[in-house]
Amino acid sequence: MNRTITQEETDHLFKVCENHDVSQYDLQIELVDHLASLIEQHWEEKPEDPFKYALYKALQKFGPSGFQQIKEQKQKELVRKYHRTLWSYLLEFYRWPKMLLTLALSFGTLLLLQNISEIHWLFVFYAALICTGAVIYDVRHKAKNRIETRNGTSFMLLNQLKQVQSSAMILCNLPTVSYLIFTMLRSFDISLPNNNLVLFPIALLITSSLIVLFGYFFYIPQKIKEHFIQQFPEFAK
Amino acid sequence: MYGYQITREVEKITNGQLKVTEGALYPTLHKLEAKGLLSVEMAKVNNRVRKYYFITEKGKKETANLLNEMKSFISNMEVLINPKLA
Repeated sequence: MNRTITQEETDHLFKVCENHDVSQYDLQIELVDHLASLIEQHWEEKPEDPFKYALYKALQKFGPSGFQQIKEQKQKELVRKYHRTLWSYLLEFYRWPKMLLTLALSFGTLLLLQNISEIHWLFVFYAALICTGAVIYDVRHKAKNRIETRNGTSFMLLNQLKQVQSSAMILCNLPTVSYLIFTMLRSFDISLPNNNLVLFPIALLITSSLIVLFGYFFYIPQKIKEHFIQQFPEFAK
Repeated sequence: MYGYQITREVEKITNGQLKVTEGALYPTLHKLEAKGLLSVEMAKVNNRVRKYYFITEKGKKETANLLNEMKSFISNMEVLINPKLA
């Protein structure tokens, strides 16, 4: 009977992955299985060789930066996957029937832009909306969308999502940036034009940024949670 | 099929003419998985978890399209290399 990898040796392979800076379980399992398969194939020809030597030969197949390359590529692909998910969600808001909601929100914002005497109040309103949204998210939805893993195991699928969400937080700064721009314009005696052709795109941009934020913090986490539970049901609490 | 099996099968089917390196295999598999062209399933084998890849319906369609594109490219190249002069 052919020699196979023992549990102790499998544990050692996980440590090898850790030593190569691959600490995420979803990537580790694949690399561990590949290394183990290579070692078992080596033993088919030379069963007397020690585990460490067979491992050394298996690692040579990956090359000195093989693990890092695989890790970096997977991270990039996950970010692309989140963005693809976000795009398909966003397009829904620009198609019938959800387009009606986008237009209604944009026209509502346009009305505010037209009727607010001091433009900074609009951005105060926007900032208040973001803060309220953040509190509601923190209290109600964060726990709902959070994926707790058993033993605190790290998963690239989840870690990358946090990074993508952090970059989405830039959108939350839109009111501050816009306010600064308008203050600067006012200091040069340039007021906001009372022209719907200019104001409507601004209103649409504000509405779209809110939809994008909603996508990043509510829609994508929900989709990723479903995907995670489907792939790793034993790790989802 | 799982990652290691793919490298072995490719080598076997092509009589060793094509060799897929580990550094090229996994990024490609992860890319196809992220695009929804492959689906995955996990199974426990010999004290470890194995990740199996399956081609999805979308993947089958994409394969057919790419093969057609490649055939068309090769036939165009053949015409360019051996033009039928009038």
